[in-house]
Amino acid sequence: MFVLVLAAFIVIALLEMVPLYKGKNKKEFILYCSLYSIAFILSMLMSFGVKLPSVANFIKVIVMFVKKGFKVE
Amino acid sequence: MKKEALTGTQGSSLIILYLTGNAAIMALGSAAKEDFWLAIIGAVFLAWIVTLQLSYISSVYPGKNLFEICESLFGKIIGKFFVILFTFYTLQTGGIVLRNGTQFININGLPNTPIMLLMVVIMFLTVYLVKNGVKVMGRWAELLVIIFSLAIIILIIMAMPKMNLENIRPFLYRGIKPVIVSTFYTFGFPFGEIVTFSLVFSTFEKGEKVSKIYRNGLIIGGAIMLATSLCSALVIGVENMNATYYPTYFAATKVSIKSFLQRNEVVIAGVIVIASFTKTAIYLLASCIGIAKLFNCKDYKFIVTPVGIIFMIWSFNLFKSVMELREWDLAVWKEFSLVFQVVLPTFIFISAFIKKKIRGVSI
Repeated sequence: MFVLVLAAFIVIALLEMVPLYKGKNKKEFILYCSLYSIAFILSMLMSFGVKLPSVANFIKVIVMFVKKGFKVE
Repeated sequence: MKKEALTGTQGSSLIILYLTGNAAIMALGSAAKEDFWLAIIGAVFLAWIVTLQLSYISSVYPGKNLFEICESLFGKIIGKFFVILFTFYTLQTGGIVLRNGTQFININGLPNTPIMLLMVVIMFLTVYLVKNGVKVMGRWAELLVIIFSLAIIILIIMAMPKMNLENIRPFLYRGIKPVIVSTFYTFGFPFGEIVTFSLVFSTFEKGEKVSKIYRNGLIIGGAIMLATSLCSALVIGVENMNATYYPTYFAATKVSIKSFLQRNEVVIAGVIVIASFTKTAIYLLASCIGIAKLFNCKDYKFIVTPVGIIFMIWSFNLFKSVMELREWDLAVWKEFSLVFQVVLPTFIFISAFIKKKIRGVSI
């Protein structure tokens, strides 16, 4: 599975990162690389079967905490 | 940021598809039982008030989206904080929309296909649509809204012989309280989500009134959802409507003209999946614009692919099953949506109003 993910990311990098690098807009290139790295790490973790935490649970904890504070049923 | 202007029809079409995207297959206003239709009308009215606020804000800051307005209104630091909040909201809600859409396909059409694969296919198309820009999205919506409306009208006409008016009686048997509670739920999903539209679409062709675009989209979208909910309730009954995850789809399975015309639900599922895909695209677009704004980038198109992948992973990990999604909806959604659909837009509206009064017409 991870070979497929790796191959997909290499193709995306060749198609998008190279023209962006040649475009000489350094800020855009850095932002793209940062987001791309996050996407790559998360995808690789998933392909290795690592369970990622859900943002929904995090929101639920906050909302429940606020509800408790206001004593909302 | 480069701006692409939409025509009024394109704007209204996008709102219609955006509002009906996932909602047309679900039971709206279910807490009000037989009076669900009153809750839907009430929610449209509440959403209309929000759109009046949004129209006012965009009349004070013409040509600017809500991200840009936040920065102009509150300055760089607080403005960026608002941008982060709204970007988080679009990622989270968009994630739910994508999860809902793929889960619908998985449950009803492709039960053995992994949800991740469905997400990859939908996200590939979504990234392509968003990369092509707002104008292409508008043209796509303009075409699709006709097909979507036709499919719904055909479903309703075909379902007419199976409809039973007794299913929505008695009127106000449980009093007005469940209707009011249900109105707020229905406002939270899907009508209040219209706020996202103002995050993305700000430039319309000359002579187009923003308030008119919102109003037309809201009324037609609301009418479609009222029609699909009424159709489901009249065909399968309110109890069945509340017990099933996708009542419109379930109602469509019951509709046939002898053996001559059957399996109408496939057409309904098709158009609803496409509408849901458009809704996902609007959320992805909003997330990309938000992230680009956060880092002061002139364009958003170059980050669509990595943001799309993060969006997909975010969505995949949100819930394990449709039951968990519904549970989260009941426990959290009302409060979560209230902050982003009512509190923040009202705060921005009041701030814009005060600032305009203090500084005069030109801000």
